[in-house]
Amino acid sequence: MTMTERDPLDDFFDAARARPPAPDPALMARVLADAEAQAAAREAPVPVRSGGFAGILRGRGGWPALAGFATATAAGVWIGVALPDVTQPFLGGAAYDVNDLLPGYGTDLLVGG
Amino acid sequence: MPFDAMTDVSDEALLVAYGNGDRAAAQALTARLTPRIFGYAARVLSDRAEAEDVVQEAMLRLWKIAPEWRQGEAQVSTWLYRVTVNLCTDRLRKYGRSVDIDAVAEPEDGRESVEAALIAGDRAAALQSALDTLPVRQRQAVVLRHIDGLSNPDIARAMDIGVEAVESLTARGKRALRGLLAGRREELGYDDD
Repeated sequence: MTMTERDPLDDFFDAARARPPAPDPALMARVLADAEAQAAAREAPVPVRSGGFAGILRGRGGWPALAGFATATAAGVWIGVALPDVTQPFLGGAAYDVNDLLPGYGTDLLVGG
Repeated sequence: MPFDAMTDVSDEALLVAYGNGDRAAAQALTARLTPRIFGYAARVLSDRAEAEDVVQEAMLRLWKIAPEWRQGEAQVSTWLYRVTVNLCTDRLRKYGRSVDIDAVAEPEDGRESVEAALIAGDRAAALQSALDTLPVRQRQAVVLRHIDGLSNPDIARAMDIGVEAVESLTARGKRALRGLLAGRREELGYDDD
């Protein structure tokens, strides 16, 4: 076949392109309804769970409050572990004894009576 | 943005806009893409009701992926054709007569309907009858290339095969179609027009 020779199939392809199967309006409407439903589902608010840990957390200010609590805890641990020279003077330079916490009961606790 | 003003907006921009909640973008995409993949599905499946089911499912998958669409990675139309091709293949495997989708064509099956359409002067119907006799993969490749006008690389992406495989499928498909149509054209005096 030369470049100028026309493929006999082209007449059939031309005829097919000239008469494309057209979708019914009902199909177009169903497709659009699906699009609307998907968009609406994405925009719907996420339901808030109640009770359990979520309820306790919400009563204390939610996740921001928990984040502040965690930060303060981590900072306290870090100060105590990494900077003993800073914390030691506040402890009187000595470790706590049972009597410091429960005066008068230290001996009882130690002997089990 | 009004629907009429979106004719110059790319498919991808419309899809991203829809993913961000723009309902008019969905209207524009529906009007633009649904007829294209319906035409493909109707020709490959040769059944309007089946084609409608496939198209609605393919478009639903497009709506679902819109919020996560990664711009610049793929053409929306090629992605949609790929989904449609796979859905059509699944349908034909499940319900169609072509159990082996790569089976050798049996041109004799369609001769009577092809001839009837040619006698009626209906070339589109004759082509459809001939397409129906092709193995599914050949039919899909021929429709995508010669009716829907996709490039071979786009067909390769849509069918998840190599470009050489596309060329082989379209060549074999066209050879089979010529066997069904060209010979009948001569017998029926179609060479004069």
